[in-house]
Amino acid sequence: MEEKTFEEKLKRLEEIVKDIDSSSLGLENSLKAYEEGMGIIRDLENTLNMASEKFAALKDDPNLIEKVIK
Amino acid sequence: MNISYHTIKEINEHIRDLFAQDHALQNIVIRGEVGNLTDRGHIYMTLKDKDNNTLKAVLFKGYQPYVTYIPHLGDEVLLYGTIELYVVNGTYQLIVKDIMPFGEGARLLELEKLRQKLQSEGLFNQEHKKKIPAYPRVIGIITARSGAAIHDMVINIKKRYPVAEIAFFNTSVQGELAPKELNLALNKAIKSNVDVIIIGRGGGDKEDLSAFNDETLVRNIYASNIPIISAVGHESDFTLVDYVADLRASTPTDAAIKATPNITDLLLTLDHYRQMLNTKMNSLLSQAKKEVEAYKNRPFFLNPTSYYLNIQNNLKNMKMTLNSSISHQLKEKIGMVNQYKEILNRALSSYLNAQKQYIENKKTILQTLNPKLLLDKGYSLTLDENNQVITSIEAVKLNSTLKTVLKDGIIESKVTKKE
Repeated sequence: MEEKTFEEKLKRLEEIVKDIDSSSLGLENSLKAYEEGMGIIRDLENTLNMASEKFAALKDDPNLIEKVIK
Repeated sequence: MNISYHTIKEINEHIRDLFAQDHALQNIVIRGEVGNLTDRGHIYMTLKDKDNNTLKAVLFKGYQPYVTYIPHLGDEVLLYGTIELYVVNGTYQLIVKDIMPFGEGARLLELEKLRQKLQSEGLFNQEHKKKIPAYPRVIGIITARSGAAIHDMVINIKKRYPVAEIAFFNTSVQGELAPKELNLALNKAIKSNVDVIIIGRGGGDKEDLSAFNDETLVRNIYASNIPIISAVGHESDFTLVDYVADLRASTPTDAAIKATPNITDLLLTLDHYRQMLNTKMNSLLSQAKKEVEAYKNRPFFLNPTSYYLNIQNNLKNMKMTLNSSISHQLKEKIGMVNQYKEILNRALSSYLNAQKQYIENKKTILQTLNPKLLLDKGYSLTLDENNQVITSIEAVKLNSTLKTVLKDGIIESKVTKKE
């Protein structure tokens, strides 16, 4: 299966937050959803922070444009 | 003192006539920029050239329906008409009979006509605008490699949303080749795997931006399935590409902002979600704990032995109740059996008595009928050879042996005679 996109992950996270917030899942499923949600948050933060650091290192590179564009 | 003089009117009329006789002032074409314009039914203008020489002109109301176009302030125009002197104030002016745009003015008029045509075809309609994705994976950029625009876009996109990839489609953005190259780059971008396209360039004068008014380019943008953000020049510049684009950005930097979410907001949102999840999970857990506590405090969990004792007692009680109920029922049944027994006994003994009585009666009757009693009295009984009682002479045969039964013996005798 193809890795989910940032947007898909964020959407899933929003669903989880909504589900847990509505208290409709029951304790066990809430716990499962909680773990999944926390996992997604860590994953998204890592993705953002890593990409951000990678760009920060490149920012002053005179060949920035060449390095960034596909 | 008798000095001859002219009135102002006379001299003005004279000059007016001189003007009217001069063919160089009749039905001429003059080029100029509309430097001042007052519309009081008649349109009064001051025309000027690049050295700021000026000429007054008037477009009378009666001519207005017949002229090529009605000028605006700042338009460069060609005016056709006649120079006349206005006697009342001694100034001369161009009486305009026709007017048309010139140079930039002509181009603007053309552009305006094209804009109106495309608009009437619905190319700029709001309902056709596609939604810009909130979290694009790949952003396509169509601009010149050498310009400042690409730099501004890349820096701002990556700063705001570093996870987005950028696909670059190089093109010239001004000059003769620009429209063709822009169209080529756009078609390439539409066919590639991008989520949103930014098409644009940095600032320039009106002529420099003209490639972004190309009709084919506008139509291609309209036909695109991928949402397109335009970013042409500065805030004040408006091109047809800006009209047709799904979203118009005022500058390349603005386009980068419009194409991306902000990492700071995103991280805040994620943190907010984390807090929500934690808070909610904690409250769910503490609620579950409370429920477990409540169960723990129920009598059964507090003293399970007593619960079993209770059950045991209940069983005992039930057994006792059952026993007593059964013995009661048994007693009842036994009583009933006894009752029946008695009734039966009574019935039986009364039946027996009746029978006894009956037999006694029969016995008495029998006794009275007993032949032995007759024998005792001296009577006898005659039997034939077969010990049958003879009751009639008819039953007696001659020479047969008869038995005569007496009280104390039997006599056998032969029949010798029947009478």
